[in-house]
Amino acid sequence: MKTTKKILIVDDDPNILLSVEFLLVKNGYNVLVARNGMEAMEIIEDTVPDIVLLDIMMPDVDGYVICEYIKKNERTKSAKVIFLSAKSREVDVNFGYEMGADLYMVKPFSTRTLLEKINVLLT
Amino acid sequence: MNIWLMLFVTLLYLVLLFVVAYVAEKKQVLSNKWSPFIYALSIGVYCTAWTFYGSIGRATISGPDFLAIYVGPILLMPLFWGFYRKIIKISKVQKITSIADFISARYGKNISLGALVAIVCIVGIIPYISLQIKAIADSFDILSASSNSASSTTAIQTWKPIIVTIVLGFFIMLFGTSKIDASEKHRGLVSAIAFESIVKLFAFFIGGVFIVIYVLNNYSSIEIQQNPRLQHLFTFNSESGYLSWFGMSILSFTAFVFLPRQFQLGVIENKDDEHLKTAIWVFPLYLILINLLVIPVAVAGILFYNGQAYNPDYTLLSLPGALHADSVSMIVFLGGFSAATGMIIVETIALSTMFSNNILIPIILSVPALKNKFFTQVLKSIKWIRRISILFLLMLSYLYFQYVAGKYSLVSIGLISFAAVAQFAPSVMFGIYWKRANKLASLAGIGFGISIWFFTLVMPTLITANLLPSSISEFGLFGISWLKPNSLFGIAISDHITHAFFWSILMNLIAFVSISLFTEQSSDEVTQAELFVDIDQYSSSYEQSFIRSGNVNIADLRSLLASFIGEQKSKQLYRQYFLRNQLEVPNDDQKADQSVITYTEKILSGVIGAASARIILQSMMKDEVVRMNDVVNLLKESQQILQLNKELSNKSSELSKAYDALSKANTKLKQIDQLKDEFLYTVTHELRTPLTSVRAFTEIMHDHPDMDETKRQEFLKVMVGEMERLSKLITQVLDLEKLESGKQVLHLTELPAEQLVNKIVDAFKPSFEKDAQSIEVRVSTDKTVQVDVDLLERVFVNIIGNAKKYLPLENGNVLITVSEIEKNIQIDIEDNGPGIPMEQRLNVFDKFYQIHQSKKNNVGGSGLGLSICKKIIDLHKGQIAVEESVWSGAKFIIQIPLN
Amino acid sequence: MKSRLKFQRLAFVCILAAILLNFPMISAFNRSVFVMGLPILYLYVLIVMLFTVALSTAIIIKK
Repeated sequence: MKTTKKILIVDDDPNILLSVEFLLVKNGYNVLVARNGMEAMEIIEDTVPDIVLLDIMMPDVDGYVICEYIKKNERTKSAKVIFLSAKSREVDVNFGYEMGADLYMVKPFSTRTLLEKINVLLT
Repeated sequence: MNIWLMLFVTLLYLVLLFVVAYVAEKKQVLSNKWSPFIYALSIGVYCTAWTFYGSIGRATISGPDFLAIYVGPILLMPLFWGFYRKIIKISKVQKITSIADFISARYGKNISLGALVAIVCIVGIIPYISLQIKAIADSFDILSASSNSASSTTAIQTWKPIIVTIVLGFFIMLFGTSKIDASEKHRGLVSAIAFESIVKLFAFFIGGVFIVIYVLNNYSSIEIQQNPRLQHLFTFNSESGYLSWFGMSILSFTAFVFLPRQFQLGVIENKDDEHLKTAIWVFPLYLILINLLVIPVAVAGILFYNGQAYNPDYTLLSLPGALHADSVSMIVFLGGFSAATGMIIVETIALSTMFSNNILIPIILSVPALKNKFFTQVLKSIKWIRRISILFLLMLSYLYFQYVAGKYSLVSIGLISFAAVAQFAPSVMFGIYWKRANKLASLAGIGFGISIWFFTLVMPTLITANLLPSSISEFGLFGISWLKPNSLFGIAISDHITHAFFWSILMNLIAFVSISLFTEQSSDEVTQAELFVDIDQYSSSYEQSFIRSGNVNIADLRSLLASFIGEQKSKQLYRQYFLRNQLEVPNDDQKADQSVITYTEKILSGVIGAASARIILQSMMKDEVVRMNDVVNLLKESQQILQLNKELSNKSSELSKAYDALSKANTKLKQIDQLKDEFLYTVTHELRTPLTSVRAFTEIMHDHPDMDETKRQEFLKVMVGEMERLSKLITQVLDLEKLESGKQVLHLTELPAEQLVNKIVDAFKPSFEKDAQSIEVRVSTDKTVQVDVDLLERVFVNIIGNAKKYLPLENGNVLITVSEIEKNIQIDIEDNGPGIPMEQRLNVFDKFYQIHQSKKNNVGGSGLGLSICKKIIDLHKGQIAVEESVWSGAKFIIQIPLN
Repeated sequence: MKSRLKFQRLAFVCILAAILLNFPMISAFNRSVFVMGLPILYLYVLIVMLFTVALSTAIIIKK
């Protein structure tokens, strides 16, 4: 029996949290929710998620910093990071990958694609 | 042959030449199809009287080695498309006027180097010119002597060379100095030279074929092949022959590139480097053809004269004469004449250009008294300086001919000239590929090389002419045995030419390479090195640059340039520009024309890169916001150049100035770019956010038809909200666009301010009351305003709406005051909400500016509302600002002028 | 890069011609031999020159 995977969603837009949480729960994932960077860090301190869906533009700490933290830390670097951002320029995407992201998806994204990619990353 | 007839014919020929040149100059359309061929043939000026007469002489004496000087050019042909083309490109872009100009330009536009090169050319080529004069004189003698008429007056004979020289001088002045800009094409001249090439080939063939038929045919092949007196014609003298052959082929290789006449016609007069493709096969064919009959004629000569003494150089001329074929010998004479005059004309023009540009003018400019006089009559001065130079050089050649040249064969003098110009090879060849090659190295290299050249090649001639003691060649200079002109360091290498060439080039190379490696360059040298070696990067943008001349005057251009390269330098450059182009120096307030602007751009390109230069100049002209591409290029090149500057040189004040100016330009352009970028980007960003949730929800609801009904309702509600937000945003963007672009028309009505405000407030009252918040209006004036009611309503709706959003849920208050202050109606809207921090009070009116709490409450605005308000107020010629209210909330202040 | 190759080929042609037109290659033809009534040395030089020109032109013109 496969263990339930933990997915952390970080986004300051409550609508995103609402929809994606619903989606992931419906698909059998264990979902954790953070509305800003601080909350996200608190959750990560506690448990290391399998996947982190990270928004970039957030009021306090931006997604890049969090991604960098996750990837540079021994304890957390096993977590896969997917950036979900409206920042769509090539430079932005490249930068995201440079920060160590496993995937960068531009908003608006397709929920179906998101599910697929999550699946792939977890195998 | 009647002397007068001969004179007449030669004069006629010169007139014909003149006509060809004139017609070609005028009828420029004609040349296009034939241009490549004209170009290829004009390079045929390489074949002078040396080729026409001297080859036969040399062949007669030493067999095949007359061909050595053609091996070089043939070996060059594969490389024609390579480095020669690079030289052409560079010369076009830099507007090079001569070989001295080229070398001087490469090494930081250095004057002493230019002068050195010019002097070397003059000293090296004058003998060569004089040998052409000698050929003309000798051929004239032979032609007139071969006739039986004894009516040849010796007076005419001695005067003939002078007459010819003078007449040529006039011709040259006419065609060499009519074009003002020395780097412009002399189309007429080129055509005339191409014509002369045809004439000499044609004449050679007529003479050669005649001789073959009427002389050679009298002997069978066996006779010829086995005649002992002819043996040396068919094979090399294998002992020293190979080394000489090799030496001469290299010598001719460099000569073909660096002889002033070759550089002039091959590089400077080149219209299109595609022509090289034609020249690569046409010119060698020409060489082969003109040499085809040399051996047959030489053989014929030996056989015909059968042991009698004769001048082998002029075999082609004397044989037809001896056979009384006067018309043939006349034609041959004309051919030789044409070969000689072609060379004289082009060399003199090239040398006089160098003499005036690189020697005379710098000297004049360095003497303050002369300098001022010079500048007041620039136009006239230049032309006369050139003309005087031409006459001066011709006179020198004539004198050399009279007193020295008589004793030597045509070929040996020519080779001495070759060895002189070969000294330019390291400076040029390294110069176009190696950025480190520097000015000092070039000066030293050429200096050493030419000194050895002088010592080993010229001194012996002076010794033989008894101008110097012969002890020098016997015992060495100052008695030092390894300083013998003919065997330096005790090593005697085959013939003296090869010997001289070897040592001079060796010393030249060693000096050049070692100094380049061990010394540093000045900033001028560095920039020029960049421009030369990396010509491909700079040439295309240069050619495409075309800045429309706008309203800029000379002074502005000058100070623009000055801010990059310094006041003095800027003035100097402009002066040089006007000088070189022989234009009147314009007043400071005169509008700059296209060429000056292009020139400025070219100079600027040398400092900050072609792209930057173009943009800076363009912005000076048009005062327009630049395109993104240009900016990127500007930034890229600016980076590179800033890097280059930093790495390579100490900070002189000029460099710091350039750096500052460039940084400023950079920042400004970055800002403009950023603004554009940001707006576009933010709009799309703001659009994406609501779209993301709408899309997500839609997909989810579609994929999970069995979802909980309450959940579904919740989602739908959110979606509706988001879509409203979206359409509101779109509307606002469009409004803003309309307002900003000036398409918005104000429909003004006059009404009391009170009425305006009350209407809005009434509309808000219900929602305020519902939330137990209050909204109050206090009016202290009944004045009327002329406003667009709809637009102003929007302003109030927005501000009051905003206020309401952040109003505390209990005891929320909004107070609106209408008053009159100094010819304005002032409307204050205060609230007791959280207010706006002081540092953000100016920024709130910026597009998309949001104080980030909005998202948290999901009460998101777009950030455009206040921008729109500001635009509307601006349109009404009013003011809007925000301060702190008495309750520590926000206080918006709107002022609208009374009529 | 294509023009790089061109330049390399052309340089090769130049060097080849230089070798062919000098010692020792040329010494092989330095005999008093006549082919079709023409001295072999000149014939050789002529052929090498024509060959060099033809090859260079071909390389340059080829796209």
